[in-house]
Amino acid sequence: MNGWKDSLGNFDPNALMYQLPFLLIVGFGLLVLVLEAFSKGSSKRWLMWVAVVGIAAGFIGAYLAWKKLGVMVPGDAQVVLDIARGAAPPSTDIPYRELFDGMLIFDRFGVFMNIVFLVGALLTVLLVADYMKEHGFEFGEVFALILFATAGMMLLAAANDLITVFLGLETMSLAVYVLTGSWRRSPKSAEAAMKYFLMGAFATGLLLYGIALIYGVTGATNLHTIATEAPKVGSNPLFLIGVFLVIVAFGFKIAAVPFHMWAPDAYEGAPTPVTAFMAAGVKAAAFAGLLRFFGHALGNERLVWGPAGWGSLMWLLAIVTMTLGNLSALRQDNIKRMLAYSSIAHAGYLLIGVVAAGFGAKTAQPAVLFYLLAYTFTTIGAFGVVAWLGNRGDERLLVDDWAGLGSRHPAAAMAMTIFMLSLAGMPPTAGFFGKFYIFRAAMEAHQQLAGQTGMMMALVVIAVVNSLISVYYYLRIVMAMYFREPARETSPLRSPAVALALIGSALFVLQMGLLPSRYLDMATQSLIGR
Amino acid sequence: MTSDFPLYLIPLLPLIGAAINLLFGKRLSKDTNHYIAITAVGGAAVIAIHACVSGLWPLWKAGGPGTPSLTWQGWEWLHGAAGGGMGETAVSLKAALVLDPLSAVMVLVITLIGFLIHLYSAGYMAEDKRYATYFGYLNLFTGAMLILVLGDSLPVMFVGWEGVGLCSYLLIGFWFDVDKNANAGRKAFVVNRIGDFAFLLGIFLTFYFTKSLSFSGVRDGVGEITGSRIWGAPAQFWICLLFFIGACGKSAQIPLYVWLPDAMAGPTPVSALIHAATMVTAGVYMIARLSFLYVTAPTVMAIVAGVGAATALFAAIIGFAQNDLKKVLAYSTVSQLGLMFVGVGTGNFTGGVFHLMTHAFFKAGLFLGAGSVMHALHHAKDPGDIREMGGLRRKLPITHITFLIYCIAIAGIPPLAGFFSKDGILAGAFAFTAPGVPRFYGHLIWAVSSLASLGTAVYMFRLYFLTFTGKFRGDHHVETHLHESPAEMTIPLIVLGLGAMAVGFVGIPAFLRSHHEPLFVRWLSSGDAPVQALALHMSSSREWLLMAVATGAGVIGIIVAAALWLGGPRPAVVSLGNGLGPVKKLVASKFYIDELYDLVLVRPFRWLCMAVYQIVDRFIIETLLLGLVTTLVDFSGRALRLLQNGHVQRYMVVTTMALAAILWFGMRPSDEFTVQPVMGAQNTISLHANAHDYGTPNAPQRKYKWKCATDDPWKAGGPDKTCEYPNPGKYEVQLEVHDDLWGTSNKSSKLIRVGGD
Repeated sequence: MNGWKDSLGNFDPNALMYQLPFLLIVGFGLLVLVLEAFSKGSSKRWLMWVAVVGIAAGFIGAYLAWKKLGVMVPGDAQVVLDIARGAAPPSTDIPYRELFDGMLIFDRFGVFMNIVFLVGALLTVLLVADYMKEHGFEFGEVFALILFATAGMMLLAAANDLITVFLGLETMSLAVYVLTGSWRRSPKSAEAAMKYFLMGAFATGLLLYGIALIYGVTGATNLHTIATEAPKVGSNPLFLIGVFLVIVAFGFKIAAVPFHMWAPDAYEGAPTPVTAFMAAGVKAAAFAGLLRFFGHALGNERLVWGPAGWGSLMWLLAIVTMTLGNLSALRQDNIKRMLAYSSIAHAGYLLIGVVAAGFGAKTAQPAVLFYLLAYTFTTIGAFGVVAWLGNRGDERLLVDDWAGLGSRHPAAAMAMTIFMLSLAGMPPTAGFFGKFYIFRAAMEAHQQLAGQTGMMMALVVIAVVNSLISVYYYLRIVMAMYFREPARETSPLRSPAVALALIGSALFVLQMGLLPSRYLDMATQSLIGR
Repeated sequence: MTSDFPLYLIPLLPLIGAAINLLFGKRLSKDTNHYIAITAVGGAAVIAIHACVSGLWPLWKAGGPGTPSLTWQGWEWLHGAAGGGMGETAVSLKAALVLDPLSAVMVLVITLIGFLIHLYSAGYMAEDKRYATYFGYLNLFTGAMLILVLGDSLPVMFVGWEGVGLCSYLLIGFWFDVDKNANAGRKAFVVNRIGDFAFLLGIFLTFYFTKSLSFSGVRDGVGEITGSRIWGAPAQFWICLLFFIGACGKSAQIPLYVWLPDAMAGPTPVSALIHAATMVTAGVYMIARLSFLYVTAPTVMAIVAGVGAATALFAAIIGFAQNDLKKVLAYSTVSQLGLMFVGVGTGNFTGGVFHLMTHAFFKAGLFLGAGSVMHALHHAKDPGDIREMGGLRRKLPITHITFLIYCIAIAGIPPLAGFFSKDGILAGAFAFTAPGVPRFYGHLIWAVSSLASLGTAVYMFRLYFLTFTGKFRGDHHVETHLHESPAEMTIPLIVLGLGAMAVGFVGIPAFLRSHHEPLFVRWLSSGDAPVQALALHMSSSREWLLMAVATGAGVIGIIVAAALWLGGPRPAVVSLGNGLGPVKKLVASKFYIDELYDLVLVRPFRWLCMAVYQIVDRFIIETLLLGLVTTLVDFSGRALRLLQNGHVQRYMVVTTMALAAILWFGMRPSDEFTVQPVMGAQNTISLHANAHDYGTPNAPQRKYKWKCATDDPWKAGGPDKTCEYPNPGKYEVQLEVHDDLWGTSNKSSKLIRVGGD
């Protein structure tokens, strides 16, 4: 009589609570799809509100899951602060819950990432509705696809097994391929989708091959099991190939040089709000996976360093990504392309955090989480202003088109300035503290290496030089907006939803820059469970 | 004993007033502007009085352990960890405010005098175009000054410190369309930065030792400071010295006093509020606040007292030869500030603060009186030139009477306020003793300060006689327009005059009150963490003597001034002045200190800046770096464009090549090996290569080559190897691992010690 229960293993229906954000987002995605199919009339704008309600429900779900997972040591916030200040965390006390035979893990790390994804999805949904209307392609499916992509990201952030990593990554990617090509009448959009898909498929192949090799050597796909097996097989060439292939596959997703080549084309061709979603959400999800697999499971000093260590490779990728991303951005006159290269450069900064986490720097995980949240607000805000400015048949993407915006539309120019300053990493914006915490984590890793090598220090120095270079092209836009005469008339989108998204992002960017400790404390409570 | 009180209201009200006037002021009427500003400061004054009377006073009366204080906990501003040799300490900094007896004195002075000066400004500035901005700045200043004195920690104090500096700069250069005024503002700003820099360094050092920034935390951590040495001197020496340099900047002491006389370019009420009564006393307040630190550094105390005395005398001498009403008052301010530093420097912290308070009343009054005079003379070419005045006492009766009261007060004639405070400082200086400081040093300070007091009486009454007595010396047109100022200007003059007569009584010296400590001293030195009070150990007769000398100096000064200048400059005096030609010129030119600074500091600095600009900016950055960067960017741009040509096939090729490169480099087998001595065998070690094999029997195996010493040939072998050496010594062992499948190999070497110990 207990057959059906046995077949579910030890599954506890109450545990669905942990998955609440995921389930709600999937449910609302399906609802949007069904409503779209049965709706009459050409305007699909109202579906935006369904999606917004879904995302709001997702936030509530995330809040409940956050509460249910509890703090590390109940009621003792001091411990959390001590960890932030470098004390070792009470290792057994990071609450987590494994479900589906350990395929998924639920901890506050995942919940925090869910919040990042939900923020990204919410801002994108607010931006995309009126953008589509303005440019004459209204598809209700776009909202459903955004929600499905978000669900894929959530799956990836909760993945405790290479199979679920793959599943989450693909769920997300497939939805985003379609989103990229959703502006069907635009040849650029179609081209972007095609390129993105081809390169993405290539990456998927590499990822699967890597997973297969890792499985072949360790006999496991479960991250925790791999973590225990890895030190024994650490220098087995097949294992190393597997690990490298996984890095390369993730390198595609985060657009790390030299696997970034699709990014400028895809970012430029995709509808601007979708570009924002790709730059923020997809990247954040991939970094969640990187932190879980590399920063945490393979975070063993012997595996990280040395000529065949994954950290050495990421170290190199970080440097190349930052430098080439910034250098390429310097010469771009098209803002979308410039922001695409900027987003590549930011992947480089984030990789520093992953390497630092691999060395066991306690501040690295929170730093990456903080950075991702800050970056989500900033970059979607920046792309949002770009989307806001364009008209049908004239996207106003050149820097020259932005001349004199400061006198025409002071509020929008102010918001763009805030986003640019944040991307450049200047106080008092979120981007400054994002970079600061990442660099601090790298210096902590440097200290833990106790002078064995100056590589982490070198990484920080190169990153600082890079952020100096990047100031040039970010401020170029600010300069054009404030110090040049208006070139031609602008008639930007008149949309309360877009305005809401932009104002909200700008306020959060400022708030995270002025009162960062609130968010950092939250990120510090969001360590990976197991 | 502490209790909570919403102290934030006190600085908040002026700040709100500033926000309204600065943001929307131009759209409001002038009446609304000054109503807002005056109400804001008046409200702050009412709250402050309420807090003191019904909050702090009962606590102080009740006595009990701890300093009586009202606190506002604020919010956690920053938290973090302070590193150090011994682990880390969690540090939390609160943006908190505290009202204790010391800050209560300051808050009352600031809000009450500030209120009067705001009121006065409504009349004085009535014709100004930037009326709203003026009141906005003035309110902003008041708010910042209140934060400065209420702050519970060094950083909060620093916020106020910088805030008042900013407002001072803005208000000195308020009429910036005249170059001279803008330059004066800039000079004040730059000179103050020097002091601020030292102040910041002091804060850093304090934090470094005590791991705390709040005053109570620093006080608890004083032991950490006094137990350490920097560059052979005790740490507290450097910390106190840095704080004092900071104080020198803000409070215009040698060598950083040069900005204050120029600061008179601002509107006169600003000079009264900022550059006489409140901001410039911030340095004295800071040292009094940190008195617990200064008493541990007697050498610095001696320096403070010495600099104060020297400044007092030096500024007094310059004051003789100035012919501008406000310039004389400015040098007088520098001189009086010097006396306050003599007070705090001789351990007489309460005395210094007492003089700060009394001085605030009569000096603000003097400036406002001067403003009233200049207001009456506003048709003159230079309304501040005392050579063109005279006989104003009939035309400006109220200004005249009040001005006379202030002059008597500052000259130190009993029983006006200045007498008690100045006498206290002089007596304290006479009695000054500190470990490591020679006994005569106190007497020297006393003598110099007394001389300065004598000078003060002379030049202040020179000012008074030349302005108000005799006949009007200006041209007729100006004389017909002379008039008394409106009520909003005369009322503050009267109130301040009453204050200058009355406030001294809170500090009647002990020996006059059958050896009861003065109220003011008891007020400040209550509780267990007080402002250190000086216990005077001398006989009553000696105190009487000192008091007689102090009073005598004032009286003699007035008599001398009357003899020389009563009823206008006597011809004999003028010829005497001409006879002293070169000396007079030297003094009138302020000893050429500005020119000296210009020659020694400003010009070399300009040259340095120019050189840096030409070399670093022009050549290195613009020519070399920019040239390099543009070339680099151009080159990389071209190279990348070749790859990034939009063809997905090419992207795929690049990706595949990158992947191949990664795999090839990553597949170099691990070259690590471990070394162990072999037990029982002499000079023998065993080596083990860590490189793993593929783990399957048919897989291509790795090949190992070993070298036991540098001169040995390479020998093929397995993952294990034993090396025997003929003699003990140091040898270099090398290993090369080769992977057949990938055709890659890796080499490593280790220097090992064999045999011996």
